[in-house]
Amino acid sequence: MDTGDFPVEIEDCEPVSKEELEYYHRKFLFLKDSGYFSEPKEEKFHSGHVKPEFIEFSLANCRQITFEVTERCNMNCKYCGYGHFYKVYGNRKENDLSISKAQRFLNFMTRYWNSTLNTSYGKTVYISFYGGEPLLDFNFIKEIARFVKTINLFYNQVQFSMTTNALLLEKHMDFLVENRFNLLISLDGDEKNNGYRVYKNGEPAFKDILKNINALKDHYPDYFREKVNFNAVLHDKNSVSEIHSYFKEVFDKTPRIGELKNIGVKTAKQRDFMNIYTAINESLYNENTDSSAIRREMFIKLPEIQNLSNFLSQYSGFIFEDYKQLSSYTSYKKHTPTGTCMPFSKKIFVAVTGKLLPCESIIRRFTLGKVTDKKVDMDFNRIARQYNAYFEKISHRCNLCYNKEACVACIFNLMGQDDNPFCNYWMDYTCFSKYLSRTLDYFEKEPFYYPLIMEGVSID
Amino acid sequence: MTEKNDSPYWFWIEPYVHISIKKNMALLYNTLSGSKIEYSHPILVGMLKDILKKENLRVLELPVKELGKPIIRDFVEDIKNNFMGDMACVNLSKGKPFQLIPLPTNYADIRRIKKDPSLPGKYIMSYLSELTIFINNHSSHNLEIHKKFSNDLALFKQFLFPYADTVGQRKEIPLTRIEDILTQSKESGLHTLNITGGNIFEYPGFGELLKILGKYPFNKVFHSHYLDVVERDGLNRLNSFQEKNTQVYLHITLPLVKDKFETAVRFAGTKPGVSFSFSFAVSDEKDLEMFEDIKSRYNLGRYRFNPYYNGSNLDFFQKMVFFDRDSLWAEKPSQKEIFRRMAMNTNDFGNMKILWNGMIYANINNPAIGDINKNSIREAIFNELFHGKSWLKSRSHVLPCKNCLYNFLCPPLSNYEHVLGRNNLCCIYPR
Repeated sequence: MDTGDFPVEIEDCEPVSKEELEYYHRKFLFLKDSGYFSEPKEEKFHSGHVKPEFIEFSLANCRQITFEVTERCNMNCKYCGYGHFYKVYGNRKENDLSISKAQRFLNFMTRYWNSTLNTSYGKTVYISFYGGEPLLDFNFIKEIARFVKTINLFYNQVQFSMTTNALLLEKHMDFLVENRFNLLISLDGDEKNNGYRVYKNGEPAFKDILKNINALKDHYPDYFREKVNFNAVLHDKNSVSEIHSYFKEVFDKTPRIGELKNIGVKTAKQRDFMNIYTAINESLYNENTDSSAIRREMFIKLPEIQNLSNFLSQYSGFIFEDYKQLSSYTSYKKHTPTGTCMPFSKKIFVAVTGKLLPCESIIRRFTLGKVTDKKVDMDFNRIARQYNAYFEKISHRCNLCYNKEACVACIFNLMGQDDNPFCNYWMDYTCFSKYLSRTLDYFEKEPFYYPLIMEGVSID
Repeated sequence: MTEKNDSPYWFWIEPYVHISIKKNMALLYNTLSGSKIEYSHPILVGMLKDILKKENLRVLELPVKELGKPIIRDFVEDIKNNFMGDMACVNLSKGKPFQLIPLPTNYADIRRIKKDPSLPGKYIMSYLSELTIFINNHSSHNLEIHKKFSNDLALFKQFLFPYADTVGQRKEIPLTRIEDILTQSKESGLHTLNITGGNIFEYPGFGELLKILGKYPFNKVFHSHYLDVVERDGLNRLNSFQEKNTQVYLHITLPLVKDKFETAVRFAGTKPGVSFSFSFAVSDEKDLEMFEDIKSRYNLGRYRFNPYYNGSNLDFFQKMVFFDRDSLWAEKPSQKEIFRRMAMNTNDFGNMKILWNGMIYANINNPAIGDINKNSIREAIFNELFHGKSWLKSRSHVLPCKNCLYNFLCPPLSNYEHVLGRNNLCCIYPR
């Protein structure tokens, strides 16, 4: 140690003696010997880590199939993900998914769900209906629900779920209640807040939507309480507090609040898009009212809390995915770059064309397979090659990222038009230091979020 | 510290320190260095209780006048010198320091899962790591010395040992059922498959069984009493098994039948492809001496001895198995190991036994978790996780350990505790 002048003066504090400095040097060495302060390991992502057998395993353990029932919709929401702002979805026509294709795919999945590759027991698989507006093809929903009931699943239980704009809700509610559908109703708040949710002719749809929801609530209050949730999109005609208070007062519910999807916006529409785009944090903190009560209530649903949760999952050392990870004597090592879900590990999206995709948010050209009129075309070797090739394109960049272990970016959202990925979330040393500093700063201000997040967040 | 500054201090305990407080005693254990400190002074135990309060997140404000008290000053110095905690002038930070205190969180924790009906049983087959199948329950051996042990339920409940029921009905698991069990376990976390009996060589389809086992990648461990292996054509049968990942455990009871034992040892030496281990059951000093003598006289390769409680050898057992404070102090579990011990019984977790009658156990000393003739392996695992008494039973669930300061520094509950009918195989609590 340097033997300079002692004691060392620190403003507003006691002088630091030589003994204390020596103590902290000893402590530093102790912690260093115990593995603290080490530089990140020079571990690199190598190509070829996505194996066909792992994809097959994921498929057998897949927990959700989402059918794109129809491309048709009875509304024309101004911010629709398939609408004028976005460039990436190709032409939406008025197609419906055929019942026979959906049944063929369910038969295909049943063989996997009932195989020994499925290592779960008692887990729920969700059969989900998505659109367009799925209730426009009610016959499809009715037939698939009937078909699913004839399937004998050895290890799983089934639940139905659906996202709907509620315009046809009253007409079909008896069926939905009878089959215990988990309903997610899209609604942005009160009449003013719903300014962008309009009919094809531009007329506001709010009053009709509300009438339908109230019919469900009045006829089936228990079902409404247990199985109905709301999803509101945030924009310039509403705010987090308006949305929150509307659903609390009118339905006694805490809605999910999502931001407009800001990926794939046409260059020519950027300005218009940004005029209506509002970030949740911006809305929460810019409002004059005290947002603390809302934040407490929405807590886990807030993006900022989800970010903290992700930070804790990766860096606290106190979170374990399951008993296997807890009982393991080796630490978990990530093998693939980005935070992309492994194919089928969470869900499969069946588009109206029969194309199979990892989820509904992914550009349709990243097809993983197809249900045709005769068979289900799924080649695990090809999918593995496809993923490995995507990862290969970005792994050199990810290898140098300080946050590579905790990355949540999906490679499909990083892909440019030329299929070359570019990452906006990449962190060098300085960036990562700031990220750590910001996160710990947040916890210093809100220390009790830490135990709340640890108690409340689930890895799903 | 000088007296010119009256600013209070933040005092904290580091996140890597395990804190245990029971009644009026407190233990701090540094999981990085293994150092331990105990406190019994009411002021200090009170301070540690305060620091553990949820709202404090292991940080307390200490006024300067408190630090002037010798008891507090010495305590803080003690903590600092063991790198278990630290302090800093409050003026150094804008607010109360924050640290990620240890809040071990397992997303698959059964208590959490019970709140979310969509999640039960996710990937549970991956939890199965060791499966033991008692393919039959009989041995035609007539030597009393053999019968005495192979009929002993108490022995079979203490550690893996062949069990032959010479009184009851002869039973065996049909070959097709065994094949089904293995098919079910194909995509599990299974790495070790123990095949035992009875006398496994009397199993009618033993040759076929070997062929079936050859199809699976698990490590296969055959357990046999050494007298069975040499008497009942066992050697020839084992000779035909040329699989990799194969071990043979020869279980030895004392006194030895010397010529038979020597045959077994000779045979073990001629099978380089199969790994042999000799496992001795010892119940007293005399057995122990015999074991020492045998191991010095024969080239056994791998061997071990298992102390065996026979109901009247508690003194021997206490000497061999019980541990005192020194042996506990010598253990230096990591923080993750402590988390494991809080959440599960690592002796049992992942283990499953299927008896000759089809009954499935997570631990042979606890109630069955299924019947292989009616339930699948995954159903049995599910039953154990949600309703069982073995895999997730930690020392915090049993007396007197739940009140013991050292409960998570101790190894997990073992079968010995079941057989002895007491949970603390230690000379520490009650003192």
